[in-house]
Amino acid sequence: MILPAIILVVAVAMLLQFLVFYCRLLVAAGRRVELSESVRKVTGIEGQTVSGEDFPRLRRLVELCPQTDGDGYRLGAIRAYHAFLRVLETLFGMVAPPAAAWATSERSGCAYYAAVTLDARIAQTRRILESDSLTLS
Amino acid sequence: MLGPIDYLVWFLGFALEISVVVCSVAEGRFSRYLPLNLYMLGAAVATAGDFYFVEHYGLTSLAYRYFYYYSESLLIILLYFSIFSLYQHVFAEMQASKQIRAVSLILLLGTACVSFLIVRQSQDHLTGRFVVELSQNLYFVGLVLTYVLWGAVMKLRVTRTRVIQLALSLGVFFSAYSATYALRNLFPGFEIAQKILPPLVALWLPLTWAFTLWRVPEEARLETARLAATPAR
Repeated sequence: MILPAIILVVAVAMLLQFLVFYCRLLVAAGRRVELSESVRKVTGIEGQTVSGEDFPRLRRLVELCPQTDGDGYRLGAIRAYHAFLRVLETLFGMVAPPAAAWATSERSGCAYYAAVTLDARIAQTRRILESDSLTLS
Repeated sequence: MLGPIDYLVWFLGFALEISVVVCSVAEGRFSRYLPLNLYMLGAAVATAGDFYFVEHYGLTSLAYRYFYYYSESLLIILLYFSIFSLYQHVFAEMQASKQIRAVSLILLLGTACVSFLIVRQSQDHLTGRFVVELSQNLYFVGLVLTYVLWGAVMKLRVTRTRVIQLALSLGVFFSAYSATYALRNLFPGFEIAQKILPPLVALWLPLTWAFTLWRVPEEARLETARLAATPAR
């Protein structure tokens, strides 16, 4: 009975870790992308910093635009990751400030990722509109 | 009795397994990901075999159980080869393929020997709990191997998105299966771990691999190095 219990605990921990790795990769990839001026105006983002608290607002804006390149599932993963980080931040806020600080930084990355997704969706919608107007004319 | 949802999941699994191979062939990279494709072909054959045994002998028959668990054990061994092929992709620049082949051969022989010894000692109860235990251990070995592979990906700062996604999918698959089998071992009467989780987890690997091969270009790159210390913005 001990071996299956150990395997269960280790497997669940590793499962969580692999999922977190995946989300961190997405967030890190998002951070490399520069936001366009138009998205900065729409979202009110100035400079390079986005607060993690902006994530729900940015996600709602993203949902107003049509999906591009199947990015919906990635945003879903980031949404779950953001919720997980919020729990982590609350849990470790008093006990381990460095862990809470890391969670805050990652949540900010999630918000930035949502802004990058919004940018991509707006750009894609513009391209479609432009090609449609060219076809009509 | 199997319901329409069971058959749907079954068919979906088969279609996804075949689509992984079709994606590889269409892209002309069947041999580049040969072990992965062989595993998917094997999984498709096993899925079709499962269907045949259920239709002809019934879900509770001994013939189906034997086919299911033994084909699964063989598929896990094929999956080990897939992991080692990913190791070769990761260590390609270090030209360590000989060492990787040697290690994989030792591990394969070791697993075969241990399995043989376990089977020989448990000849009188080869069904039921024993096979669940064996599968649980085989999946756990796979999980450890994938974890080490992921460590190498991070350490060597591999940037190829495909390799990263294939490895991560394997990690999630092995950890989810290990956890499911451990649950089955701990709570034999637990319906969710017995009937609902295994077919859903089985869909994960063909689904994510098909997506990776279909949507992620071979040239795509991700910066794993950023994970080591992600700067706050």
